[in-house]
Amino acid sequence: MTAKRTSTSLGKGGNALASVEKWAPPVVLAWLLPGFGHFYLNRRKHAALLLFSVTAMFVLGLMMRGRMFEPANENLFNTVVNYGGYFADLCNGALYFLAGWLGYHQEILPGAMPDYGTKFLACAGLLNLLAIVDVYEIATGAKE
Amino acid sequence: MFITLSHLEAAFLFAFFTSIVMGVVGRSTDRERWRYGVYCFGYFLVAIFGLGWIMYFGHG
Repeated sequence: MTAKRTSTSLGKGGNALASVEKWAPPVVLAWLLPGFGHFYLNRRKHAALLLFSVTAMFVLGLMMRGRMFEPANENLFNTVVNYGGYFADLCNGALYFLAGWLGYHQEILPGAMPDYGTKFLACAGLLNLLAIVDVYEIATGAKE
Repeated sequence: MFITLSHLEAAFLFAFFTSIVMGVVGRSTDRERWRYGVYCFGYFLVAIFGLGWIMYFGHG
């Protein structure tokens, strides 16, 4: 029963015992630089599209004066939002660290545009998370 | 360099880039990816205009 459930959840060609060495390098690359996990797996056209889309959303978020989330404990709702947003921002990988290293820091500003920018930054990270999951599935054989 | 976009422009850009990523990761063949990406973009547009009109009428 357990074996059947495992094979079903991984889809055709999925390998539950796929070695870490097989999927870790492309997954780490995909996190660090959007699209580079696909590039590592010889899917260069997809890599270019992912790099373009995620980077464009991130840069637009910066240009709209979006704010990076920081982990902060407040009331329950704000704590979930802060940690969730922080995780989403972290999923941008090198883009996130590069922006911080170059001194980007934005306080909360009134108005819609900085708010849109904050959402663009977080969503760029979540899109990269989708790409990371895709890379994992390709590397383990769960997806062609 | 900072930019200021209208809500519609920001929503279009969001829909465009998100559709590309969803198209790439969402299907297995290139033909299906194209179709899925275009579908996603279309559904985003429908949602943008649909919800916009609902909010317009909701406010009276």
